[in-house]
Amino acid sequence: MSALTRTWASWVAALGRREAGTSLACFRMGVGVAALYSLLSVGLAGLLDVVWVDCSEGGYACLQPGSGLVAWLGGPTRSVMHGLYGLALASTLAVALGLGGRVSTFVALQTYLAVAYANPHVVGGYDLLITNALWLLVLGNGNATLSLDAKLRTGRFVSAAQVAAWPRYLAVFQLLVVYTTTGLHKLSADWLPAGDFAALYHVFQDPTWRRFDMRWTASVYPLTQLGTAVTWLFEVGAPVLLLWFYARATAERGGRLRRAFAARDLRVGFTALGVCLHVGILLTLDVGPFSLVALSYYFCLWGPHELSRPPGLGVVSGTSGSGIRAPAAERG
Amino acid sequence: MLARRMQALGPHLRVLFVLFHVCGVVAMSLPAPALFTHGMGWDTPNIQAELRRWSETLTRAGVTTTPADIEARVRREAARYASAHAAFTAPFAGYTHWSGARQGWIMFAVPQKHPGELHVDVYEAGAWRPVYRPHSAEHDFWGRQLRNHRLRKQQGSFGRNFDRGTYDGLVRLIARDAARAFPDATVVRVQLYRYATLAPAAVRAGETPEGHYLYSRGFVAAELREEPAP
Repeated sequence: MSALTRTWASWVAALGRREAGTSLACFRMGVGVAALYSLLSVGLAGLLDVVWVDCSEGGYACLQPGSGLVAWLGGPTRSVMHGLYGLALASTLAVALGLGGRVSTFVALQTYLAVAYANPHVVGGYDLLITNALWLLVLGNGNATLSLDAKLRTGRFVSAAQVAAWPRYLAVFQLLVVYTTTGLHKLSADWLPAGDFAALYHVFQDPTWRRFDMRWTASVYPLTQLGTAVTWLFEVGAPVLLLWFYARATAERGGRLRRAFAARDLRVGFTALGVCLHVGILLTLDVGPFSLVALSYYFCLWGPHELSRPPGLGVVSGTSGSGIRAPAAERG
Repeated sequence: MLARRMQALGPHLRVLFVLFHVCGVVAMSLPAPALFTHGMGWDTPNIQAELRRWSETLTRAGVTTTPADIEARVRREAARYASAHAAFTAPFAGYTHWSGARQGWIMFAVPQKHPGELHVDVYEAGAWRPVYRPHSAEHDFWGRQLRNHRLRKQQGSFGRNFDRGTYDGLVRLIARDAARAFPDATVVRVQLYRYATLAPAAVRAGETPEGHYLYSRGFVAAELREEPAP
């Protein structure tokens, strides 16, 4: 068997794995809540017409009809956008509750795309994270458990039904791409020693995103410098976790790096840092549901069996719920 | 027979699809050349200051250059990179657009050190009265709306890539509501106040940033009140 054939066969096997749906269900609930927040926060602030309706009918921006659902329905008029907004709210609520399977998820995806992208001036990174997640939930089955669908199907909210694991792998990949590329896009010297690691300090002085007066951060400037360095290193270092997943998945091949990776679960430190980073953002800056949706992806770092264990974590032995095999030595 | 063959092909098609998706995500998340050719707001004080700093850093490291050199070089390389970028993103553009797997992760890449904030004033009884200032509980007209994350994004872009159309559209809506909310006002004024943020030592010393007004728009309140409600 050639190396290429062996590699292909291992890909076929890895992407054919099935597992309980807990991780994907937690991901689905988090994403549903984040999408609901994204939509509701605009409506509750009285901005639906201001932001997402064309200037000819009360909006502040003259919007192009684009090429999607909005154009097909006749452009971003008030009646079209109100209808799409209502449908987006209902379908994202269904996603959060796990009702309607992939159909409601697909409707949520398409209506969210239509509404949130109607005004390109106010599209945020969280919109991208939400639509990526909804697409992965259309491809996967996030409603297998912890959902109204499970309740209707089996009489219980919790189900042991198996789902494909590969959409969860893609969610992990997406999360790592987000961190890596946002780190690489940070071109300002402020993120580096040349700029005195002053990036976070300056973000806190800019009135655009901060929740409240942050002048006090001048008194803890060294802490903001530390936060800047840690944030940048966390982002550009994210591919190491991808390498860790690969090393764990191919543990039987041996080697020093695989043994080193097997000795510790990098997800623990990654998750701890990521949670601190996003909670910090949530407390100090108003960047919409960015932290909420980003943290939803973290559920996918863990296999369904791991999510039900307390996070003492350590090394996962055998073929874990994460679909990652431990080294042969550990499997005994 | 056909069904059995399709069933056997399924796992292989799945691998092909996942590889396509992964390649699409990577390709679309790479920096877009438009960002460097015209999307950065080269003329803004923030980017000009950034160029000066990189120029100083590189010169200190022995690479003699100027801010203008760096800008020209980045623009030139971006223009050359554009055709390659177009070629490797083309196979995935349709898929990522329609599926929602869109990419583009530029977050706080260049922190804003010359922010702009909207200020709203009304002219009443022969004097100007502030009715909106960011983070002011006292002057908070339209504060709930302007603090919304969507409009924060829009206001932030006024300081980066100023777009006259969206600015005029937004300030007119605010002014119209202000004219109705303050019946004694004869004029409503909305402006962008821009300033350089201060270094930590200056903030600790109790200094306040001094800025200047840009894009001042004045409206006759009576005319705004006569406009039909949307």
